[in-house]
Amino acid sequence: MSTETSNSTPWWRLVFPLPRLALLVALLLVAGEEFPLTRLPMYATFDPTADYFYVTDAAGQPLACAQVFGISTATVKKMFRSRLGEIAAARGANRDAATAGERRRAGEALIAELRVTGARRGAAVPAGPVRLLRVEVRRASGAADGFARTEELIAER
Amino acid sequence: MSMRKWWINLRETTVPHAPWEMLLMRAAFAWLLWRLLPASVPFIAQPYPTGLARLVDLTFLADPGVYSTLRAGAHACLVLYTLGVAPVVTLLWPAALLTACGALENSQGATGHHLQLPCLVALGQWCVYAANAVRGAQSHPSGFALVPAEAQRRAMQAAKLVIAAGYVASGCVKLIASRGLWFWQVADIPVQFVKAAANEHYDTLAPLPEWLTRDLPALMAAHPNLTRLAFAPGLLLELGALFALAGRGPALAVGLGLLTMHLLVDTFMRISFASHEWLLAIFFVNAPWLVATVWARWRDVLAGRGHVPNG
Repeated sequence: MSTETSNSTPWWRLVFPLPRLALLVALLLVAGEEFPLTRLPMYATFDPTADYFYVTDAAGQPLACAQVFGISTATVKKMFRSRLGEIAAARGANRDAATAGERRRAGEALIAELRVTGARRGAAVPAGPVRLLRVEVRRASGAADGFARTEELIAER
Repeated sequence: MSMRKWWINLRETTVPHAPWEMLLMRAAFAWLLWRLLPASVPFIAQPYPTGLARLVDLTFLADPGVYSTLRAGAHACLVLYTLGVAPVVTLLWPAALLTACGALENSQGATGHHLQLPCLVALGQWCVYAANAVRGAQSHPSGFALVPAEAQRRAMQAAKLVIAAGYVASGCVKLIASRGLWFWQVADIPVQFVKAAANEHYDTLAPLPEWLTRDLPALMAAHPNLTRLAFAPGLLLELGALFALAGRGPALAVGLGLLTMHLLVDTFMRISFASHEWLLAIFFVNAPWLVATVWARWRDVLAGRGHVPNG
């Protein structure tokens, strides 16, 4: 780089040669998740464990969630977390400190909402009870496939 | 040229797209917005309002009569936008409707990320057209469009700017949220593969291949450094999306790189970001220009000349 370039280039150009892009990125980072603004934070952090949800009928037979309710299991998990957080917040706790009863209430409320949304989408929502289950996955060297799974019945409604 | 000088001299380059290119880009983007507008809106409440839904009660979209009318209007607008007719109006309508639909969908307590970038691209382009209209710069029709070609080029550049910003922001978040340890933490991604495969299975109950649900996660778990090596390019590609603003060639390279990343994520994690892939294909890769360029070069080689259209 020539001396002339150094002297004539403002300092911020050295850090942000594309100022419009820098401003837009800063806006997205500051605004967070306020649709349509987003940080696109998918897979920003990783934990040694992960969890997924699924739904079954009263006999424990899995239901094709996206087809039966029109909502994916990944979305079901996010919806459950929101409802659990709200219920736990009512007593000043966060969702990680939620009791089994609070988890059941959040799950029951979610199942009720899934029925309504699924019906409005024209899906064949089952008339009988539906179970919401959560599975936690972690690495386990002793397990057959290298992963241990712990299943939890959240709610049935 | 040293890396430092190259970095300092890095500037946005508004590509001199030909009118036919921009017509095709608008057509493809209009098709994408058309596809993304849902057939109906099932949400009758917004229990966790986000963004636009904080300002406006968007549940009126759940009324089938209202929504079908708005959607039909948006479809008509998209045809006119493709033709370059009054984009201040014809782009705003579908952009606003899709943003409203996305905000309502994301106000159910589950944040999805497939609609934000298309909405932001549409709104970014609209800002250019609106600024152009405010300046009174609309002059005589040029080429295929009814707004000046230069304004159209700035609108295309705005689209690229928004897309690049989205990917760079995503890369920055990975570094910020992980406190700079993303490359280290990514070794824990095998459990995410197991989770993603389970999500895919329980969505449809369709069987998945064993290599996807069992062998691949086990392989990655057994070789954490190999896993880190495999995923490092993804973050670098996201952060490097800024180079797409430097011209056609860099945009093509970044676009193909990010498309490859999405393809791999789609194949191995069954997580699709189709709208992002289409945005990359339309504005970064710009396949019609690529085909025309290859064709022109091939033709000129045969004719013993050297010419690149709108190079």
